[in-house]
Amino acid sequence: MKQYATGLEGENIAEEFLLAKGMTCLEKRFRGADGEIDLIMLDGETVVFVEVKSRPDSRKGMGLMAVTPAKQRRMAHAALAFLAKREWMNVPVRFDVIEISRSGVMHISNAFMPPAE
Amino acid sequence: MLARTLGYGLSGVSGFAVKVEVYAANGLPALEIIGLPDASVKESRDRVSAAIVNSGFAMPIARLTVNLAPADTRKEGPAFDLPIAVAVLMASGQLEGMDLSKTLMLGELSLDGTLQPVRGALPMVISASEQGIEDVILPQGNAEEVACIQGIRVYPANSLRTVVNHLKGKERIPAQIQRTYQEILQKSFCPVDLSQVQGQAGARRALEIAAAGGHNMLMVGVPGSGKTMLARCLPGILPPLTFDEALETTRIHSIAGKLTPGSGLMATRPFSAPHHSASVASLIGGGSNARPGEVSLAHNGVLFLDELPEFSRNALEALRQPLEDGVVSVTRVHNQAQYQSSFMLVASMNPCPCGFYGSKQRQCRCSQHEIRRYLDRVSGPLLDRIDIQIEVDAVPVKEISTGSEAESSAVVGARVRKARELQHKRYRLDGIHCNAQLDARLIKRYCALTPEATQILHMAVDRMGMSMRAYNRVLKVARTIADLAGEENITTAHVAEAIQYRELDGKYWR
Repeated sequence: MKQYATGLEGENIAEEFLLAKGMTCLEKRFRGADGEIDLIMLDGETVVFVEVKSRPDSRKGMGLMAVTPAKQRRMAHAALAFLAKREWMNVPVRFDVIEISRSGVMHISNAFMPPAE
Repeated sequence: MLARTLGYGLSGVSGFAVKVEVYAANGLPALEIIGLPDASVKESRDRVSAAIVNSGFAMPIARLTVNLAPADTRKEGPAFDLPIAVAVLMASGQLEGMDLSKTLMLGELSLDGTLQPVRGALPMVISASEQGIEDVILPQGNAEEVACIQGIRVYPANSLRTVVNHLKGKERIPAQIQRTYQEILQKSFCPVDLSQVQGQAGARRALEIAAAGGHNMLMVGVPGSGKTMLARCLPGILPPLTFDEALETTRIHSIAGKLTPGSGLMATRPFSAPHHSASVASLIGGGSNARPGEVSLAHNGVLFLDELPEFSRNALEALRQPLEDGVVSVTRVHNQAQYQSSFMLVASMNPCPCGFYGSKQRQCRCSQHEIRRYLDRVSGPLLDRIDIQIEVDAVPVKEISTGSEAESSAVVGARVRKARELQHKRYRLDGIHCNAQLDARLIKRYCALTPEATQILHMAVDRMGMSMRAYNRVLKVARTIADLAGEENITTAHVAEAIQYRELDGKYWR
């Protein structure tokens, strides 16, 4: 339960952080067929899919490294599911990663291009 | 947005235009390359993204589709990096309002955005200039190679940044000044000079005749007698390449990726000396992409096979077609190419496995049977194609110590050139350019003997049991000897000397 709580708290911090940057929130914890997206924001016209990694201590390694190609692929699937649900066929899209650790919040815009299928 | 640039691909010895189209669409970010790219073109995806960012531009966040048209021809190599990168910048609005349909771009990108030289720049630029392309932007390392091509402006660039500044008109790259072939000729040189060869008067003479008539040559001799050194002198005494020959030869070296970056057209005749462990494919050409082999790298030059009997039988027999036709066709699953391979074959070998059979200095310790087996590795049909066969013995000590300077390559080369000019004039209408290429019909026309010379030759034929083919070879060599002497008629002396170069046949192979 502790991990779940940490994750939830991280997502709230991340949302605050992005709202402060002028984005608006479209959806939280979106579930697709085989993957989940923590935050879906709108930055101008661009739909931003955000993965939040909370790492209260660095013993388990950097949060960034946890976004593996497999995870990226799952996020891409979920993103497509989201766009399909809203019937948004022709919008610019971006994937961001936010890492929250003791030292603060790190935002990586356009963190990856989903791997080719 | 849609953007178009122009690249070139290689097919055999010529290039073909490849339209590079990039379409930036909304959707999940991606960069996909289509149009039958091979692995090195696909990897372009990662090089291009890094190079764009590290050159101070932004990699667009969009779904990018890169199409290489025509879509049914295989594309290989990293030369498409530059046209792809520029098209990506155009598709994302970082470069605007220009028509690049007549500007060829070639170049491999490093991750930091600098341009690396590519393989095959010369044939691609030649084809482009023939097909009406006006400008070419290519890596600095390829600039010298194409400096002699007429009818196309060449802009050598260092990096993606300089290319963009050039295209924007912010900072134009100065067009490369065309070089004349004369300038390049002056810089050509051969690292080994005949003046370094001590003694060996007979072998030097044979080498001169071989060079003058373009004859294939075989040297048989004890180890350390200087066979390899003699052979290495050949490019220095052969006449320099003509402009067309230089283009042909450099083209093949460019395709094989054998040109040192920054070097220009090759003006010295190539000297290719494959090791005797060479496979058929490495000699003749091949591999999955039908690359040229050693015989083509030696085009218009010398193919030197040291230790001839050590080469595999298959490799030696495969030489017959290029020796005869001056061209090889290489056929592979994905590619089919014809490479020119008109070369002078120079081979050397020991007379027996221990190396000292017939030597004056040391006793041979091989059995008759061993010697037979060793010599038989060289087949009759191959020997038949070698006009001049000589024995090279070790140089006696007193000749080494005299230290008198021997004739230099320049002096011998001048005589060779004169003889070649005579041949050029004589064969202008026959479509050949040296005596070695004479066929039976032309031999009848051009190698008329004086009556006394005929008599000597007939005597030799009887005594040595010469075949018809050997007979014709003697005539060709005699023709060259007469040309070296500047004489129109072939006389007794010329024939007598030519006969000498057949005597090995009788001594070793019968």
